[in-house]
Amino acid sequence: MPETIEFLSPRLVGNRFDQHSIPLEVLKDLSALEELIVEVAKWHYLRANKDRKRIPKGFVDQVSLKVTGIYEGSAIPLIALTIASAVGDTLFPIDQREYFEKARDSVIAAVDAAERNLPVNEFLTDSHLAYFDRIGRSLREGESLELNAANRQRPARLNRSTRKYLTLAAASAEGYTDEVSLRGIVTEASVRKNSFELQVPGLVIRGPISPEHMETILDALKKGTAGIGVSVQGIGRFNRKGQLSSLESLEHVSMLDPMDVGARLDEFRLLRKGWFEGKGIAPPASELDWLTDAFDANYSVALPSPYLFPTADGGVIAEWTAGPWEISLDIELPGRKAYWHALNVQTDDDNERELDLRQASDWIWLSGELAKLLGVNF
Amino acid sequence: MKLSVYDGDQMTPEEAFEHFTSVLQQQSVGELAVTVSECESLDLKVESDPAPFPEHAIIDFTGLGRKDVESKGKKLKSIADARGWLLQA
Repeated sequence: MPETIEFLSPRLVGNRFDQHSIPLEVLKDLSALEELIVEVAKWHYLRANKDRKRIPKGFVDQVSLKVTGIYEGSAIPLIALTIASAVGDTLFPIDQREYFEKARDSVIAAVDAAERNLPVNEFLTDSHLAYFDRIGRSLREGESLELNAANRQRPARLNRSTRKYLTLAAASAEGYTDEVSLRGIVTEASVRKNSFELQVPGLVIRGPISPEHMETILDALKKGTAGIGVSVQGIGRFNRKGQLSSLESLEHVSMLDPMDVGARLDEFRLLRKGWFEGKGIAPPASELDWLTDAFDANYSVALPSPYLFPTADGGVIAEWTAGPWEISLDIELPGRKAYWHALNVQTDDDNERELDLRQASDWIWLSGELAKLLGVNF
Repeated sequence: MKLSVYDGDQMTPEEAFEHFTSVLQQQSVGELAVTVSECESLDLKVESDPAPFPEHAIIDFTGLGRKDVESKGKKLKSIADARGWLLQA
C-alpha cells in the first residue's frame, strides 16, 4: 500500500492569494521546489551512506510530492509525500521519508538563514542553490512563500529578496533570472537564428524567438522603422549587479499603440539632472513606474493617449487637443498631485482643477471630463 | 516666467534651427512661430534679450497667475499650430 504523509504546508502571502486561490504560474514554483527537495534528499542519502556511490533504484521513482488540498482562509497548499511500496528485487527497503524530511528541513534552514542575511552554504550546495533561480520567480513585490509558516517568529520567507540572496550565494552564480516586462523597438530579427534584438531606452537586449511569436516579431521589425514599438513579457537574465543582460525566453509579445504611455514614460528614464538648460530635474524612476501603473489601472483604453512631456521640475505634463479644446494635466512627481486646465480657444471658456492622482475618484473625474471634451462614448 | 524664442527679424528659420542644434547642442523636431502683435493681443510683452546671444528674445509671462499662464500659452500654441510648421526636421 502506498504511504502518504503530510509533508509541507507553505503559506502564500500577498494580495493575489487573499481570495483563497493560487495563480497557475505559482504552481511552477512548487514544481521547482519538488525538484530541489528530490536532489537534496539524494544528497542526504549519499552523505549518510558513504559506502554507496549511487542512489538506489527506486529511491526517487517511488516518491512523489502532491498538492492534496488548500487550507481554507488563505492560500496554503497542502503538500503530501507519497511513497509507493518497495517493489523489485531489493532485499533492503529504504525509508526515503527520512531523507526527504531532512531535505525539506535543509531547504527551510537555508531560506531562514537567507532571511537573516546569514551564510546558507552549510545547508545546501551550490548546485542546490541554483534551483532558487526558478523557485519563487513568479512572486511579485510584497509577496512571499513561507516555508515554515507554523513558526511565526521564523517562518522562512522566500520572497524576491531572499530568492536573489540564495541564488547569488552559489559561488559559481553569474547572475539570476527574473520575470520582465519591457517596451521597446525591434531593431533586428533573424529567422535562421531564431533571435531578435530589442532596443529599450539606454540598452539593447537580445532574446530568442519561439515559433508562435515569429510573425509578430517580424511585423514589429518592419514597423520599428516608423518608431512603433512592442511590449514583451518573458524571463530576463540579470548579472550579479542586477543589470539586465539578455532575454532567456519570450512569453508574450504585442504591438504597442504609437502613443503608448508606458513607452513614452520609459524615454524619460534617460533624463539626467540638469537635462534642461543645465537646470532640469530628472523624474525619479520609481515615480515613472508609479505613473505608468496608474495610467494602466485607471485610464480607459477608449480615450486617446495623451502627448507626454517631461517638465523642468521633474514632473510630467500630459496634453490633449480636440477641435477647439486644448487640455493639459501638469503632474507633480513625487507628490502625485496634478493641475488640470482646459481651454476652448474659440470661446475662451476655460476650467481648472487640482487633482490627487492617488485617488481613484479623481481619475474617474478626469476620464469623465476627457470623454466629454474629446467626444468619446464609453 | 519667460519663454525663450528666436527673433525672426534677425534670423531665418533655417539659421535658427542650425544655431539651436549645432551651437546650443539641443535636439529639435521643428519650428513654430507667432508674431509680436499676436503676443501683444494676449497682453504678453515681447522683448529682445541679447544676453545669451544677439538673436535671443523672450515672451514674458511674468506676473500672471497659473490659470492665465495656461490660457495664454494654449492660445499661442493654437495660433502657431494654425500657421503651421516653419520647418520640420
